[in-house]
Amino acid sequence: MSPLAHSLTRRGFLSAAAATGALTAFAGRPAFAQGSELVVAVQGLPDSLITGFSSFASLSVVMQMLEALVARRDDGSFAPGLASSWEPESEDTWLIHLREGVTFHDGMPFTAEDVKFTLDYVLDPENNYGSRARISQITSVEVVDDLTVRLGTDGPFPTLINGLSNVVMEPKHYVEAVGRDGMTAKPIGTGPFVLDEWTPGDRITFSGFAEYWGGTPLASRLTLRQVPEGSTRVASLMAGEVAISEEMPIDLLEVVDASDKAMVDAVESTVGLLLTFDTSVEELKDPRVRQALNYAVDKQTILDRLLMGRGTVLQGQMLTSNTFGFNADLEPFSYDPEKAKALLAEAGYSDGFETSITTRSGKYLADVDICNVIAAMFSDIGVITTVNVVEQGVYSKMATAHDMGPMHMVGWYSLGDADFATVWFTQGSGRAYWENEEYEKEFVAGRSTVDEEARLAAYHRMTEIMHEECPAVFLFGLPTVYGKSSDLEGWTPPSDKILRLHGAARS
Amino acid sequence: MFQFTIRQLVTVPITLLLVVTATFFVLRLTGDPATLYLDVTATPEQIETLRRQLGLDKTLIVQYGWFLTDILTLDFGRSLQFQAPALDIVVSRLGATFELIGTALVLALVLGLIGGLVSAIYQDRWLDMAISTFAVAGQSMPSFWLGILLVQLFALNLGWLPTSGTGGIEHLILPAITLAAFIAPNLILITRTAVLEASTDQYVTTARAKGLKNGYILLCHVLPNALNPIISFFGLQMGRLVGGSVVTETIFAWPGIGRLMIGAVYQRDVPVVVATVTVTCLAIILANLLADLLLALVDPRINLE
Repeated sequence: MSPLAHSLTRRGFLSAAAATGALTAFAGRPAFAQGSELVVAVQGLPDSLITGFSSFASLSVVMQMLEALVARRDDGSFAPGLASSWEPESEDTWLIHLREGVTFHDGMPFTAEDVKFTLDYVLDPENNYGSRARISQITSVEVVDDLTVRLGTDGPFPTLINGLSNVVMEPKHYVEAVGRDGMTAKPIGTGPFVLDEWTPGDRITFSGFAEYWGGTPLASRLTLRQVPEGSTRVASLMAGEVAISEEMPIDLLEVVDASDKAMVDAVESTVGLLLTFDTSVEELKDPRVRQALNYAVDKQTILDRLLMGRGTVLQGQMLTSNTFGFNADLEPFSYDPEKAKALLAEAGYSDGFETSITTRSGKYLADVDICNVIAAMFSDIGVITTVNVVEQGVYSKMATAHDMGPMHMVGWYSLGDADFATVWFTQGSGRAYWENEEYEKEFVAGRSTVDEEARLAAYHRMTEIMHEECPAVFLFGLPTVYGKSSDLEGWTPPSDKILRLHGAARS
Repeated sequence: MFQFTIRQLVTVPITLLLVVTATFFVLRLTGDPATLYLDVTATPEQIETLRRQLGLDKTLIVQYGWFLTDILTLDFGRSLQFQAPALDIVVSRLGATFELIGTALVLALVLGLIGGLVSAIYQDRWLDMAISTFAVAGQSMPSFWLGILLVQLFALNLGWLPTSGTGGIEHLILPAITLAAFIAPNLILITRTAVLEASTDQYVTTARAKGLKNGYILLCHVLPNALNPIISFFGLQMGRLVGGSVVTETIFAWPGIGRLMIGAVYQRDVPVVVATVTVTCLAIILANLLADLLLALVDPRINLE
């Protein structure tokens, strides 16, 4: 039994409630203020408030204060953000209409000049902006009038709108006045929360922005607390110290769910977890071997036992079902060790072979455990597999050297569009360990038209090719798992790990 | 003693140089900060640009030359991850670490001395058995586990203390106990042995023969003579405490330099790692020096010259 299981008892519950009371007393705030204060336990806070980081941890903080032209909803769909609408003007120009009456935290109006200022900065390679590649096909940014911007692109750019949802708009007047360092020290934007104080490694506090265009946020005060240890995050949730806890440790979910203080709330992310083959390795050259290894993994059992039933088994493709381009006609590879053995024998490996899996630890839910179980399942059909656990720095070095070993575990985010995920199996990405001419052609076809039917056709064909060729073992659509306090309202877990807290409050 | 201190201090820069050199090469050879910093979608050109900006495109020896020149002028460089000077970042976290390690040290000292003394006084009786068992159990208990147990008991079940984070003194209690548990059990056992050993010496028999009271003999004759191994032990514990603070700070979300250092290592953020290592290295050296000087003070048989 986990150490936290005791908190299921009535006594545990009452004492947790007492802890909340005690905390409130320590903090010296009146109890009724709790409703308007929101505390969230996050796994990691960014080391800097620079707007150019593209990590989830960073975007989730920055997007409390600054907003993108295109907003994303918790389910990953798009909505008007600082742009109220947009339309293609021709095949390679777009008109973006800005929302009226939006002001920055310092009261200055948000205009087209701010959009041009931001995009020019993002697009300049010297500035190392994290999400630059998402919109790098923009070739010109032109201010038409105060509320209209014309974007020129390098040919048709179907993922422009998706890409824009990752880039937050910065206040030109402010950055010019205080400089980049000033903006990083105290960023301001148009978002629902205004930065109060940042204690690196500990917490960031915000106040609700009363003039927010979408209405004053329900929480007048927001604190993001960094709690790196998973079981401590769970404890702080159960003790009522925090309203939301992110990245819940999978083995403690039952404990949380069984309590009446808090509950687990999960959502399908857009990350498809794969075991990618290096098809230049002799034993893995034959597609039959790669298919055999797909049949050798009992994915449902792993999902039930290691992921506690959260998430989904991928349907024989790298895309999750919430991604544009998902191919509903494909079936998952069933668990069929006999068929796997037969395919191995056909390929001339009836005695199996020795191989290895490279993985990081703690990057994905239960990553090392999943690899160990898969290695055992491979060994059952004669493919003796060892698991190499490497740390992120070493992993990056291996990726740059394009040598990940025979197989490596990786999860690719689609952020809702097949283009972002399928790119990793094209030669141009530098991350592909498999080559297929038709796949490359379809990929180019998919990104060089804005016609949705044509794009879908391309992605469906690409997923079919991957299904036949198996450049990877298709494992799971990973969930994003949050814990939330039972009295929290107006918040749902985001599929993209970016907290949207404008309407959230504890009752 | 003055000469000894000077001699010891002279070796400090050499130790530091060796340590930062090793740190520099290990970090540079095992990962590339540019690829770790940029998004996975970054193009090779973007990575090259950043490498150029950071000077990573030069040979390792040239980079090391720059690095040394900067260090000599006490410039640890600018952290890519934090977008700020490395030393400022480390200094801003020192307070939290001092608070934690200082409290843990005092706690360990009090627990260790009292526990050891009581154990020695009641040698082979049930109280001694209980304390020794407790100490051995404490020694073999992983601190992350103890930390989680303490959170469960005092924060969740009893609701007396917050689970984690910073704030008032109540936030410090659980992390300090957890960190103190790294060294307190050892200290109990060492104190016990040292006191027992010292009490078999002839001056104790003489003191008893003079009719002195037991408590007086213990505090004024035995304890000063038993201090020697205890002080040596303490000097050596600084390193362990810094190591332990990494785990403790992680469990209790304490914003000290232990967590800072680990995070920086993962990002291959050389300026921050080197600044942290230098600061902790200095602390360890000073703690040992202090222990040596203390030893000379309490034990006239030790001649530092």
